[in-house]
Amino acid sequence: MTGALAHEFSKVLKRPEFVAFLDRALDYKYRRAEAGIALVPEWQTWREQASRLKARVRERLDELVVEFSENARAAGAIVHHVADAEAANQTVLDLCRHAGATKLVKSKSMTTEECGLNPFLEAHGLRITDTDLGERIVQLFGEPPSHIVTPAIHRTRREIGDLFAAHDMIEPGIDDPDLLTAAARKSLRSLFLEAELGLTGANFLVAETGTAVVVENECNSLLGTSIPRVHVVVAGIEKIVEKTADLSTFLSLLARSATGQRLTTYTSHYTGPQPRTPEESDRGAGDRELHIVLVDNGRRRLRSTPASEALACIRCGACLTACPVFRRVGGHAYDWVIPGPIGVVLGPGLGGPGQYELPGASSLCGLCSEVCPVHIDLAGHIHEWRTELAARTGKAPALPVGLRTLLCHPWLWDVTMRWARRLSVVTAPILRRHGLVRKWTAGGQRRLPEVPAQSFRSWWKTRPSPPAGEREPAPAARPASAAAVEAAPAPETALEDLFAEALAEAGGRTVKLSELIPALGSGAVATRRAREVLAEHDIELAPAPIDDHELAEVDCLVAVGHWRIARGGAVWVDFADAESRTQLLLPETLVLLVPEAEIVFDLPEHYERVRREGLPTCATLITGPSKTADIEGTLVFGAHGPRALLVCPL
Amino acid sequence: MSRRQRTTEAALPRPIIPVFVPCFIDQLWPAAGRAAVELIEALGFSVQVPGAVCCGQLYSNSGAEPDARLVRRQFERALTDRYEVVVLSASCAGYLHATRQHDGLRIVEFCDWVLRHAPARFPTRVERTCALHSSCSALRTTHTAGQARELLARVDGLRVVEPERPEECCGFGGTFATSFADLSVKMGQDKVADLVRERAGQDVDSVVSADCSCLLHLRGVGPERLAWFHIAELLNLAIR
Repeated sequence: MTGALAHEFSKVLKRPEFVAFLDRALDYKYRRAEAGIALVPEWQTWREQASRLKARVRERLDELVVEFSENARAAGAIVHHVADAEAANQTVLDLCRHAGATKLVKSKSMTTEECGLNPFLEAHGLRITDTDLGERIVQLFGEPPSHIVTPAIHRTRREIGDLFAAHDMIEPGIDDPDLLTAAARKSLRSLFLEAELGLTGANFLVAETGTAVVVENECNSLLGTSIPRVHVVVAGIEKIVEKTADLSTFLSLLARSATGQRLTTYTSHYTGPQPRTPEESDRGAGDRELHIVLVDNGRRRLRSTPASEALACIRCGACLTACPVFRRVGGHAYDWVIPGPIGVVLGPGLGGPGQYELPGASSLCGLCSEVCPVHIDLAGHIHEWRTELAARTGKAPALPVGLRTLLCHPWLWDVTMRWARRLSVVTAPILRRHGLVRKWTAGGQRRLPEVPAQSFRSWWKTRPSPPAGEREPAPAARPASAAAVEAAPAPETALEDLFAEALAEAGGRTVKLSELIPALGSGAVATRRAREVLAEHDIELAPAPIDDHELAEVDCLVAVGHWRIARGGAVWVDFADAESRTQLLLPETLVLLVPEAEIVFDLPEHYERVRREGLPTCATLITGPSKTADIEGTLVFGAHGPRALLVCPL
Repeated sequence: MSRRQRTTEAALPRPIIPVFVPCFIDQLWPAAGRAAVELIEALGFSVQVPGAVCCGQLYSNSGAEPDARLVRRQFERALTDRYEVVVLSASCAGYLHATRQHDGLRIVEFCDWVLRHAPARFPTRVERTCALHSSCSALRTTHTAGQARELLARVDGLRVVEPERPEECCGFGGTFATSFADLSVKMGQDKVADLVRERAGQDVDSVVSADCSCLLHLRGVGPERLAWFHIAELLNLAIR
């Protein structure tokens, strides 16, 4: 151990204001997730289920990669298998060249961070724009993300205001998160509209259907995959799950753990490339393409290391947010692409000897294991790495020579300690100079414990026998109070009420048809399907434009959804119902008409129905309007997509 | 219970309870060991102190598994003829439990044991405002933080307060305390600040915990005006 990492940490600690700011931000995030999880009675069951599902994936990884690839190809996607970061970067570059794309938009993908894709593409003359607000902020700062879910959590609103002003995105001196988010939205809109290729990661890859699932709050992924003709997914092979049904468990765990939400705002399912839009057909553009780059980069090898179970990670960031070490030093101090406990576990396996110090950077407090939604015993694996690395490098831990011999021989321990006390005039100065003692005091920050005159064992040996007196009656023991039992799930609440409550929680609103017309305003337009539905109710709206620039000027657009999920407050939307995907993404307000009877209780029922009816090319679960909390945790609606969402059951 | 039964019971020999006092308590916090012995005796039992000095966790946590196994072996040897041992540290108890080799041996954390035999109210008042620090092991490995809380609630006069972030580690962590010393100190300072933070009308005068390892570290970074107790010390005052 060279102590380089400890040195990095100490450097951060010399900036107490930063440490206090970061700690406050992360604690706020932690409490929100904690409160959200407390509302879920099935939490532990879900965790165990997720853990079992992921264990099966690890066992069957090779067959599942084949199964996923075959199904994705059958759906029309092009699948690329790459062995390492270099190959992944080269593949993406080739795809860009082939598509003639030089302007790329990317939404958050830790795999491309791991591969170093941005600097690679930039070195080849491509312009790559990170579109998630937090990612955009760190990209403009020229630094890596400091947290895998909220990349700019280490930056204050003032710093972000100054940054945006320096890039002429806003007037100097503004630090209001609403205004800053609006400025980012405006500047990114034009970048979206001129993008030629959209890159995303994937949260899940469904082997059964060949579907890539992307989860986001801001709508930047959806925009980045809907406007450009070519969509490239770059994802690690461990993202594969067996069935669509499995998603119901993972999606709930991910949303609650990451932010405390019931469901993330947009959960998009990409199965094969989308058809050309009418506008594209008009101008004779080429066919749309969907490429899926499956990255190994050490993952198969990891299965034989202490990090094997960490392949189950769904990148919710809960272990980072909870970790007392991460909270005080932030992600950059780790100097490794994935910081915090999960990074510590993945580091030595994926990063090699350069990351061998990471497992030391933990007090093994175990909070990470407790908060992990897929039940990865992170602290246990950090401990396993310490053992494995000590064996591999042959380096003994920094404990005093000879201590073990004493601990193994109690009589020797007693004698040595007794004489060390008697000769304290000699032994004390020697001890004080010992490296470990000097490290303990950390330059006078921590006092040494005073050594009591007599040890316990010496007292025990010399103590007169206790009075043999009559045994007192053992006082009646009282059993420990039973742990508070979590409240049973709410009784039969009408699905309608449940839906309205969940949607309101996500920032959306349920409206009746009679309330809808006044709410629409004069400039409202509708998709073809929505106009058909409205015509049945004698309502006529202007047809929605199909050109993206015109759509960006639309105030309110009415579209249709297939069914609702009561417990998630979500609407299942098939983009094929609109003339173009962007119709649902670019307007300021989105209204979704859903048949009143079409409502399911929860995600398992939803995915059961999806399994029966099949997955469309691109379908998304929409829960509320587009939102972000990337600037000091302040919730702002309308990050990239609609600022308001109304759902109208008909 | 009839008087006759009680007399019969009094004639029985006092059950012998093996109590493991870990290495650092032996040397640096012997008062906790003494208090534990006296408390268990006051509850009507005899105490036996086994030959074992250390459970080996210190080595295991730093990755030195071969050393840990050697130390662990002397622990097992010292307790071969026992079926239960009371461990005076949640941290050691958690480690011993997780790595149990001697199948017949039940590892019982101190507070867990005491709660099973403690009176519904302790007879003596202890006038103090005490902040309770639950160690990570007590919270997440042995799950005995609740037992400690319950025991303290049975002491009259004792006002127990808890930190805002009870789940957060104090920063000791074995060799972590020295290999990442600055960070460990910072975590300790934050923990102390949380423990003694201002509360309306309650001025914390002491800190209590079931883990002396946390206490040794926290005492080193905390204000000198505070008193620091292993839970055995407070309960032993209250049982007199």
